[in-house]
Amino acid sequence: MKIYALTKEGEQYAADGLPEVNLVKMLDKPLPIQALQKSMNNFSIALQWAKKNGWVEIKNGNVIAVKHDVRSELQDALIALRDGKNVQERLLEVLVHRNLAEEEKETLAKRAERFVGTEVTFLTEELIATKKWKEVTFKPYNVEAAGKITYPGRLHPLTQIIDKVKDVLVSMGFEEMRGPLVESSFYNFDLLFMPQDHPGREVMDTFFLKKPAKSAVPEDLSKKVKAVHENGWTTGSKGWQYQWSKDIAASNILRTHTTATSFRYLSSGIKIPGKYFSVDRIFRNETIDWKHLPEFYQIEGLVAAEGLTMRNMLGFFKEFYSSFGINKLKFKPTYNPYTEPSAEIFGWHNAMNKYIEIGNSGMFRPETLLPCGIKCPVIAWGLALERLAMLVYNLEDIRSVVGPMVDIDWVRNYPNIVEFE
Amino acid sequence: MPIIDMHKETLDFVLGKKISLEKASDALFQFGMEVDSIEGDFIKVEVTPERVDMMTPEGVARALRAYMGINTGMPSYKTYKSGAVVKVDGSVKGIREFSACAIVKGLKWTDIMIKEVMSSHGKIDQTYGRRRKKLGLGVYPLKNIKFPVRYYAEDESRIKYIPLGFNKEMTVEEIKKKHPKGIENSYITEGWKKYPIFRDAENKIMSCMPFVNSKDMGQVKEDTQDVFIEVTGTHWNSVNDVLNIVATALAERGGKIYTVKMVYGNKSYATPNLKSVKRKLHVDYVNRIFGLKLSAKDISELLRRMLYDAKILNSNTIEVSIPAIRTDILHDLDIIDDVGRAYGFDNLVPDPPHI
Repeated sequence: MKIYALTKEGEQYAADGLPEVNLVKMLDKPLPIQALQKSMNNFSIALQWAKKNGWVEIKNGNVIAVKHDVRSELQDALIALRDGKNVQERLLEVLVHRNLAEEEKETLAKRAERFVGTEVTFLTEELIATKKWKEVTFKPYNVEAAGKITYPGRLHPLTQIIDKVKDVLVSMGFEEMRGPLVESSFYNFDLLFMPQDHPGREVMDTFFLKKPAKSAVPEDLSKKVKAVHENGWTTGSKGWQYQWSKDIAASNILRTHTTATSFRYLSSGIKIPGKYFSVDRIFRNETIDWKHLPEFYQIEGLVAAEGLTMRNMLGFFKEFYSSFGINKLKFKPTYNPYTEPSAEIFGWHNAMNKYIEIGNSGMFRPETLLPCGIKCPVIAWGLALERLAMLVYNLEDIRSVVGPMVDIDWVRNYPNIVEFE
Repeated sequence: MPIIDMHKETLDFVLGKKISLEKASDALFQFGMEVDSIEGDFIKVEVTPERVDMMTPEGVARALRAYMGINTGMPSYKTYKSGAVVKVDGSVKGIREFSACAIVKGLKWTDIMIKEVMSSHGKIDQTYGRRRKKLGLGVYPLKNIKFPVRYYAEDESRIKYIPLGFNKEMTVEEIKKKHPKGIENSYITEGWKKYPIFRDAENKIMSCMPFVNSKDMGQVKEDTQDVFIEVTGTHWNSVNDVLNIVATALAERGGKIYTVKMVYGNKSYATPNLKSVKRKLHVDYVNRIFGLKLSAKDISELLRRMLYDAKILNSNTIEVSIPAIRTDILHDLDIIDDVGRAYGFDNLVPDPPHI
């Protein structure tokens, strides 16, 4: 609600009466304008409004009253407003128009005034400027009340695992590899000796790109790969005994494993002996369940050196996983088209009270290495980062680490596994 | 990965010994096959796709029999001549060019066995057969068939028969639209005007590729004893490999294998051909891979537990006989891998790389 107050002029008229009313009172008989000008303070205002109201007329330089004993509701309104009584909106408008009343602005002092008599919790600008703080009562502090919890920014549990994996591998002497998320089938499958009709290469398992659909396939390397697939080339293998197509190898996909990156490195020249790793995202057309995601992280690694054995590979896993407090491991022989022998790694899950698969590994086949010009053994692995997270954080569902089912309270409160500087 | 359903009775029968499913499960894990679940008397085994010979319950049990040391070495199957002839016509060239067939006699089909065999054949179709595009197989009661049988490409308009699971005659068009196997496999037949079929000497259609058997000619029931098996596909070697695997699996059930004469123009082949392949394996290569110091004798014993025969030629050389059911041996390393499986990955002492 708006509050109105009289202006100075308005207060004067409330006390002395409106000029037009006073004018009419003086006109017992017609009086000349000049004489009235001399005897009245606000003659021109008075004349203007008295004429407008139809109270007076001007004839031959004289002002003549048409009505006597006029009653002005505006005069009453002035008095009412002065006395703090209600005034009709219509009259207020006229008063404001004539500059006799104005909307009242709350002053600093008035605002400060409102605090007096209440219990004050904040020291405000008004209280300071007006020194009212001396008069008000401040609410005492309860130093025992629980404070509002604030959560500082921190690294996501998965990011912490990634950081730690990288730290552990770098401290073991590994160098990091980086490769593209969009791969050609050539680096993802063909160079890895996966036959072109392999079920894993179908759309049920792999995401294919519509645009750009194809990539260039390296000329020299593809000749060797073709021979390896068709008849084994010089590797001592029978090969897959079919006609290899360069066009199929050119198809672009979202990489299904970071082993594609390993083979970009292996085929472009690596240090021997050498140790390489990457921790990066891969994509598979999987249905989401407690242990599967369509997009996840793979810890890729390889060691290339003369004299490497399967025992060395298992030894690496013991060492690597012990950095995460995981000491109960089991190894199961398995099959991969690009490694032989191959081993799946199982880690003990405390909460689930059983071993769960956490990675896959093996020695790269000569059919994959010889086209790259590598003649020494290469032990290699792809470990599931999210599964490692399940073991480290004792979670029974992969969806509690990534995606919309992640518990925000857990993200806020789980213990750090990496140290921050 | 294909999951093979196996009943305890099948396992015990092929092993020739009763063992608990839990014990079988542990051995399978060591071997490299994960057990998906054990439900009552059934065990579900996740078989890795390279071991086509283990995509039948008999194949899983056969591998376990050697692996657990019950009966080691290369399994030997005697084959007999059946005198039956299948003529493969040139008209199937470019469509589904190859077929290899066999006859297995003296089987006692039970309800469980029918289910196990049909389900495992489906698994082979799906995986190694690349959803029947590369190959597919069918089984028929032998008594229905009059030889010689012809495998040839027939005009679509002349193919009409009652397919398995239905009670009325259907055309190819109807099978493709209404029969589950037609709906599933019609993707292979894009642009076909002729379809490869088996027709017996009395002109009865036995089946149409790549769909389904005739109900009258190709339905195995509990009173069936002797069966005719056909495999058709686009690769001669693969077709033969699968025939070997399926025929020997039935032999593990107590059947006798009879060969069929496959006539291709003026050439003919007796199938199944169960001849083993020999390969020389070097002891130092095996030891180099695992970081072990095994002798030729140690390795030979391990090989025998993986269905191979092994003959020691000298302290560093072993002649390995690879059974005809192993489709997955491309390189020496594939045999070496098997040595490791028999040795047990859990027995490999971890030793971090020293570089």
